[in-house]
Amino acid sequence: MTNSHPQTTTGRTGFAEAVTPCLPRLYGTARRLVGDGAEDLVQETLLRAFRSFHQLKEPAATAGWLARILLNTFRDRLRSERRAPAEVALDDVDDFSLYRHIAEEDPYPYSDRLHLDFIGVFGRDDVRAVLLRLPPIYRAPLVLRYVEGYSTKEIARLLSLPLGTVLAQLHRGRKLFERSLWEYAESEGLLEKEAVR
Amino acid sequence: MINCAEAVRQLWQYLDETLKPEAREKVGEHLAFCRDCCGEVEFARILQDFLRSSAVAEDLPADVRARLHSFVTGLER
Repeated sequence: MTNSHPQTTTGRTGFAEAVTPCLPRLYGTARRLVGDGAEDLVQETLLRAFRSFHQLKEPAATAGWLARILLNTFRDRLRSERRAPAEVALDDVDDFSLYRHIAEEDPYPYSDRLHLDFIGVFGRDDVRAVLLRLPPIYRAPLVLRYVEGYSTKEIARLLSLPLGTVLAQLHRGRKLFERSLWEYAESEGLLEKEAVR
Repeated sequence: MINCAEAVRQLWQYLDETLKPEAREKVGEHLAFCRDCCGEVEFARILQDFLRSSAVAEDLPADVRARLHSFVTGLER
């Protein structure tokens, strides 16, 4: 079998050429997972990738290969954070419904598309800011499932967690996300009438 | 028949098709007659699309790009 990458004594020639086109996507995923620590996470990912570059046989698979290394690196960091206590109140979040909360609070009294107007005031940076308010153990499955598009089984494998744990974290993550959307909108003044155009 | 709270708790999983068949059927039965929860499920779908839309490729800031490029090329030396 031939290796698709030009080989030197270290087998790592062509690394920069292979990974450079993947950096924007990799950095974007890292930003959604860890926010300001993204560059550090990407650097650690690249270091790990460089060490195992000789194992990558198919250049077309570079992006997926790098994404898996990024998630492995992130998972290793997450393990230590799981031991830390949650920084947000979780007691009453499971039954929170943003849909009903918006209807009850009626933030835009003259709107005939209340829920869509609520969502419409959030920009891309706002979504990222809301996600970053969530504890990492709930943020990660949510980002991987709904932003990055992995299946729940893939997430369980990537994060080395039982499927049931991933499903439970997803449930709580979704509810925290809903509640955080409301809290963020309140704190950023997005519920004022002028916010809806 | 499950109540609204039980249905709402499972709506995202319902949309994700990760519920067991029996649970999925119960949520489906509930949605067939509960208009409020149909609104909930529509909104859950909107929220999912909203999250998905945040995945658009981000610009790699020039300074970050330069540092990462320097890091990568440094590895090969």
